[in-house]
Amino acid sequence: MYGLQAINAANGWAVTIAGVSIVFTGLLVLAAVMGNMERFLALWDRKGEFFRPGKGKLEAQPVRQAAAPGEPIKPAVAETAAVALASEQIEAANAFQLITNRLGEPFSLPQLLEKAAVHGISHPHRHLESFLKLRLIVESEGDQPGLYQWRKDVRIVGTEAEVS
Amino acid sequence: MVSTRELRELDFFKDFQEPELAALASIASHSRWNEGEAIFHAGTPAPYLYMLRAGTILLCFPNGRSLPLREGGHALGWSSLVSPFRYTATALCLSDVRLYQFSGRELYRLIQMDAAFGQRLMHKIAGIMEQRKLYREGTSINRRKA
Amino acid sequence: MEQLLDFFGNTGFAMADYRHLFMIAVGIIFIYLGIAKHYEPLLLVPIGFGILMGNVPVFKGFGLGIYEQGSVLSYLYFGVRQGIYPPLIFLGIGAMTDFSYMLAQPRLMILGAAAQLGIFTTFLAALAIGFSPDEAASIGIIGGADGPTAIFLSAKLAPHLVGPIAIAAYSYMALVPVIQPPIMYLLTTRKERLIRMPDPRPVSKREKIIFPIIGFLLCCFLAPAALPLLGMLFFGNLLKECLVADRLAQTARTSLIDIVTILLGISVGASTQGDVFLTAKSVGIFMLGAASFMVATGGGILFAKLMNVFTRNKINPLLGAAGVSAVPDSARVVQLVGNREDPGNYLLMHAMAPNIAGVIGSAIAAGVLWSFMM
Repeated sequence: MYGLQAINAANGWAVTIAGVSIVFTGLLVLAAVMGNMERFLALWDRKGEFFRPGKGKLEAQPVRQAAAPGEPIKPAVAETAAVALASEQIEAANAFQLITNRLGEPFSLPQLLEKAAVHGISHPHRHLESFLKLRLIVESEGDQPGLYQWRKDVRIVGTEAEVS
Repeated sequence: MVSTRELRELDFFKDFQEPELAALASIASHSRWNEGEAIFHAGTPAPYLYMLRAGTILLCFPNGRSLPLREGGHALGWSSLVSPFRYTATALCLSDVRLYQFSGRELYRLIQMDAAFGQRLMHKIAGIMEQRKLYREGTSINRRKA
Repeated sequence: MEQLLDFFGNTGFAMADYRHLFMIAVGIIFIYLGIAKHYEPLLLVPIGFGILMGNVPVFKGFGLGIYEQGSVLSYLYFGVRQGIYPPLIFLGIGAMTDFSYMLAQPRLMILGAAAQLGIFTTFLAALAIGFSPDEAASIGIIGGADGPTAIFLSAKLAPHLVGPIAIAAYSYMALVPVIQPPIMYLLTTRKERLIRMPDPRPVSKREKIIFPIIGFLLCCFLAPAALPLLGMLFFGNLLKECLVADRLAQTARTSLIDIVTILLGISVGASTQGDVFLTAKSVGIFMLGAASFMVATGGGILFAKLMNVFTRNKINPLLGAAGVSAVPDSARVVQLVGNREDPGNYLLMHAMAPNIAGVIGSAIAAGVLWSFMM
């Protein structure tokens, strides 16, 4: 037997209707009971008040805590007019500037690091970190988040000789 | 072994309760990376959420944009909790880095066990996703030949 | 030489035919998917290895095969045959789940009921294509997206189909991220997908303790045949929430569930043999299983849209898809689809409500089907 005949022979429609009804009824009743549970429990807590003359004030509803949004990233260290660097750092800064001159500003830091590795600059990650920390390289403002530029109002000076 | 005291010091966990920190500490482990290493790559499966403890990480997005994370308490690898569970950026160490590592699977188990904790965690994750959205979805920078 | 030939004749190499080899390949694929692709590894690795164990050719009568009385595998399979393992897994699930997702938003529980439409429509379809009523009920329960429930019911009603039904159920549960999104996009508009849900209210400890007791009594008075599954689910949850039995809850959600999962997986896998799996019935089971998941997803979404006609506070209809009780996978899929439209819309916490309600709904449906078929 196939098709509707098979379904009818097995009381398929009755089983389906009964089954769906029972599942819905079960969860509906459970939802209704649990949806009102908070109210029942609040009434239960106040049951003593019903036996005292005069009704008590409603208890203040618990304040729902709004979820705290994530903390914004804190701004970096304050600017300086001149920054003294060790000779190794000055060399790295010069090499970085050569690369960024070709990349153009604002530039991508991952691209800078990639080119620095190709050009054989030693410890490019460490140097980049220090330039970011010293705010020699800063994030481009406006609608270009995540792209960076050299600060124009800062001079790099050596610990022994001045380098512009 | 990670202690609750260590996790409490992180900004990310500052409004979590002691039992929640204990549960997090039970699934946390230490993770150390050297300068220049990539903790994970964009597009790869995301099994872990990380909390930065010390060091500097550069989050590099496929569009060429990037975001340095310098202070302790920054979260990275939120994709371990959000479908399709693939990292959306590459995490490059600009210095020697120490992190706390949390298995995404274990975090989901904690979420399933405690709704309030899950709510708090996911709100924080949603906040981070929103903050980094501009970096993630910014237009791609044109690549120029050196 | 004769002895050598005798020896060779007693080995699996001589007794193997194409069905053994095919099933061994299936077992290896399951193991690969579990280990290399991380698709439900806690299930696919034991099931995959069980398939290997059950499909090595052995002599009948030596008490080696799973269907031979007195064999080790048959003793392990006893827990499946008698419906012991699935309730124990439900005990662990109850002990690891916070039901306050549901309690904070009770109206979303009804979406968990709507998704069970997949079970009954598949039951009708299975009858229509020629399966017996017991078989049709066992196949229909795949739409509940609950492995233990599917194994429990099919062990009671159609034990010869436990293997293919279990494999179909777990396979489609792993494929939820593939099956659901197209249906979700098809049945909802962009405006509907952007609906934001209000933050759920905090749920008190008292409510969390009272719920498993009331839930068990209400559901089992309505559908007594659901008692083994729902009884263990709510018991596990009570152990978790009451705090005074935390050691028991801890055992239930860690060691106990892991032990039972190992035994269930390996014995279900071993019971899946070529002579049952490689038949037209299995093809029918897999096709109907896929259809049941789709109907369940669609049913939940459409019911949510129907509820929006009558309610002032709109429900994001995507939440209906989470009524398919693959916890927490379908909730994560809802989160993904909602997030794609609006990255600030975080639906996971809301989707957990119908997701967990779906577990209760599918257990009730299993109890109802079992009682009708008894």
